[in-house]
Amino acid sequence: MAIILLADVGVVVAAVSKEKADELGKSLTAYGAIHAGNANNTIPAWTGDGEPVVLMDEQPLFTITSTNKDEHRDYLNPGALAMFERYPDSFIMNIYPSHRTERSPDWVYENSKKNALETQLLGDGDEIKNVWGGIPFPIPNSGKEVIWNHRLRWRGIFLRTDFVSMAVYNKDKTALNKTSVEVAFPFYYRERGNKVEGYKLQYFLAINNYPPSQAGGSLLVYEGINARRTPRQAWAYSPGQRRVRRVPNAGYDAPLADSHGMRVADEVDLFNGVADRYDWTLKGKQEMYISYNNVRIKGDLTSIEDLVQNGHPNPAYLRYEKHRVWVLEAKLKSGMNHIYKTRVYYIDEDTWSIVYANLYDRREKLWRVSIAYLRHYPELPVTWAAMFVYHDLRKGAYFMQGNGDEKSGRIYFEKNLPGPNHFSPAALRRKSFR
Amino acid sequence: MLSAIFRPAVLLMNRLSYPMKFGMVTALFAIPLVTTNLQLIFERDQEIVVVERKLEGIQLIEALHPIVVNSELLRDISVVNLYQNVDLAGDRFDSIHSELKEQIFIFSNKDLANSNNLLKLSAQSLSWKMDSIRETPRSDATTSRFIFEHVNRYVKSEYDLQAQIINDYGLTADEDNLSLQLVTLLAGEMQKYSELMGMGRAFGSFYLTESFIDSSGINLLDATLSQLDESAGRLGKHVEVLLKAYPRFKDSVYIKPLAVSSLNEQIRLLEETVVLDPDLATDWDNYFQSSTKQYDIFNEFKLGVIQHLKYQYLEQLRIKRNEKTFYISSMAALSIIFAYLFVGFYMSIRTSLRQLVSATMNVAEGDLDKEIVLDTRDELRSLAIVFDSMRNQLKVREQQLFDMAITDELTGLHNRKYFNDALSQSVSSANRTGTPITLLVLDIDHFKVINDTYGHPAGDHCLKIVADVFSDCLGRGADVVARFGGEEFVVLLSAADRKGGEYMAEMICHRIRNLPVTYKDHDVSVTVSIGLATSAGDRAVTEEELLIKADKALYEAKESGRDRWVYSK
Repeated sequence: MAIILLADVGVVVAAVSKEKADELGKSLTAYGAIHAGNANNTIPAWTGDGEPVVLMDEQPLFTITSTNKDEHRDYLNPGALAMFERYPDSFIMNIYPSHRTERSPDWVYENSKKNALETQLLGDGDEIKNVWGGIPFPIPNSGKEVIWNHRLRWRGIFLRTDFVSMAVYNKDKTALNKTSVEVAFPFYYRERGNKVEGYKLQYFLAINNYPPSQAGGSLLVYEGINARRTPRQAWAYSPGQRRVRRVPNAGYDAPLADSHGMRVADEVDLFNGVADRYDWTLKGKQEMYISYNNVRIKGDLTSIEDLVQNGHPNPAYLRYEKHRVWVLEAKLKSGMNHIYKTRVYYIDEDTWSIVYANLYDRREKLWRVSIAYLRHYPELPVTWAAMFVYHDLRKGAYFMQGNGDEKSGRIYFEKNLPGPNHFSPAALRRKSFR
Repeated sequence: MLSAIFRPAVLLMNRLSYPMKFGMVTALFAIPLVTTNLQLIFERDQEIVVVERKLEGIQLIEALHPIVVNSELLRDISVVNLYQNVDLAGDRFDSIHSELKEQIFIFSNKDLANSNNLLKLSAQSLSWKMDSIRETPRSDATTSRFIFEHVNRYVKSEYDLQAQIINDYGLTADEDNLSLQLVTLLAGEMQKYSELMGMGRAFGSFYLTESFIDSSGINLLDATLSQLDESAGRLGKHVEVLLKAYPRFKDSVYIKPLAVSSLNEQIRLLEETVVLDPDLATDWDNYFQSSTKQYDIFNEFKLGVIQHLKYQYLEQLRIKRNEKTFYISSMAALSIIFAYLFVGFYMSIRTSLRQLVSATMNVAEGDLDKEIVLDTRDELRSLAIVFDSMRNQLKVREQQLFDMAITDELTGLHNRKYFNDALSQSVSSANRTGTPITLLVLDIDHFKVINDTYGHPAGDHCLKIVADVFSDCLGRGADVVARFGGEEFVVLLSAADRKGGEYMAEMICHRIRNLPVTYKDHDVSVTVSIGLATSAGDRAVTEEELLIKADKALYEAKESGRDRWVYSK
């Protein structure tokens, strides 16, 4: 209670200057990425044209393997290198030509430009104010601002999709989960304006379909914009209990039921929730091979069982390109508790998506490497992850979660908002008891 | 064999008089019967005491019930008041607090007035503990759970008191399964459910005042809900089973099964208002009141169970009292019937024996004419019949002896002794009435010659034939003919004068004279001479006079030629 009171009257972090903000849409994209390509043109300039039709036909420029990885060391992060060391015989990265396919609706760009001047963080940066539906800090001054950009990035207003996830201990020992998901982002409701109070960042509803033992179970999450002031609320329905319950401790390193011990609550979307347990340092921007434009990955992981192999998904289906990323380091504050002592994030400059997360245990040893496999969805438009893969280097196992309709691989972006009670816990109960 | 076995018993019985025998046998049967009956009455009496005690106990529980309800209310209000140390419901707290204090005072001083000291002490300690509720410690670290438990300790001590009452008043020992089940339910699942309802009411209201639920709160509510759910399930099932198995429970006016079906309402309320409402927008007091309404429905049901138990105990009491009355009256009736029959039996035997004794005494005294009759159908009657036939035989034997004493052996006529008696009677009768009697003295002529000629047997033969003729001649029953001795006979004609006598004498002479008497091919000629005498009627005569006169006349007849009659002058 005392902390919140203090935050209310706390120091206001200043937004960027007018001059700097004017660069958005000029030398910088509206989201704050460098508009131009790099010197040798391995990274092209941002055009805003979205996805070129040639992607499916393209061949890799070259392949990085455990033998030639050192030649590309400058563009590989420690997590990627560790993958070569952990799986020297099978792990490779096919490098394709880079395409900056990020494209969002214009009003989101406009809001982002407004945010650059108006949006403020309160206190020690865990609360936000005056934020319009867009990227809050296109020109970031701190690590906290970058993580806010990731949290609040554009993913539509209301969407339906399936999550098909699989824990792979080895080729013959896998565990499949299928979930129907509905997500709404009240943060991007137009009528919200820049008000924070009374609005959620997102409503998330997941209903288990597979395995049969869990079928019918469901989870509903209310994610606050200022998640520390209005903490995450979650409700779960399990068919065995036949009751909708509130879920306690739904944040930080709380275990997740369907993740087979390979990720914790705040790793969904590679990072989510309140950032207050860590000190965040923005290390700067660099060029890096990251996974991008994964047109060959569909949400339906089962129909691409070729994807499943020991240690990591089949690289033949995966596409890497050179892009510019922000490097963000999070160190656990003393007195705070979390299973990861250090987390290093690599964030795509165009989308503000975390694309790599290197997670270190309490002895500062690299434990887990998580990768977002981005893909452009022109129908919204948005560039978002088609798949997340969480590698546990100790176990030699991984957990992958595909994002897209089980049959078509599509995400259904809805233009219309759901009714006011669509995401209410009472509705969850009604749905579950049907 | 059988008699050998029973010999000692027979010997014993032989030594006893009949009343003693009856008394002993009756006692052997009656004493165990009465003892058993008395035992039954005693047992019922004890059972009645036990049920009365149970009734007392359940009445105490009924009296305790509103105290528990208020304490639970106070407890849940206390939890609400925890919120930021602000008394949201301070006034309500105070009014319930003082009301409760008064209730407890009345309970421990009035309701428990006749109870044991331990119970009184427990009740009084409730009063002392009341004050400690006020002094509930509060600090930043105080949780709703802590407050709840702190005050709940007080509610629990009331439940302990209830358990103590249940134990002390023996409510857990009941041969009626339903009562037992209800007591178990009351002290078990219902108590548990009540507490859980309180947790739902208190914590739900608390988090509504907070309008925020932290993880520990979520866990608390979740645990509360699961337990409520389980408890409601168990309780519902238990009650349902009881309703199905015991129609008298289902049909009881105290039981409203609706309460059971609304058990889940509290759960629904907590879920919808607190668990499922992201904004926790409901006013705490609205929720508290709605919760309390559910509480009231449940408490009404609980009270119904208590009242039904009370009703059952009353019913048991009524039945047992009726049974006791029945045993007493049946024992009394049995005793009276027994005594009545016993006396009747004794009197029947005594009367029979007396009759037998007096009858045998009659016989012993020579009265053989009185028949011996018993008005019974038992063995004594056969004894009486045997006695009677004995009497009859004696009578016949005596008649024979008598007849032998008055009869002449040879002729079958009366002998002289009988004739003397008859004569004296006739003479006195004739003298009294004045009617004449006539005496005929007859003698066979020359009888000595017959004897000497043909022998004595021939004489005897003659005598018999002559006697037959005499008997034949006498037509009237009152007339007597007797052999007077040797060849001399007498005939006494009562109520006959000289003329009648002469007619009779003539007829006899005539018949004897013409009588064919043969003995061993010899024709024997027999005649008789007859002397007559008549009492004149005008003056009294004596037998001797009459006999002498008749004898004189016979002498004359003999003298004047025999075979004739002579009337004495």
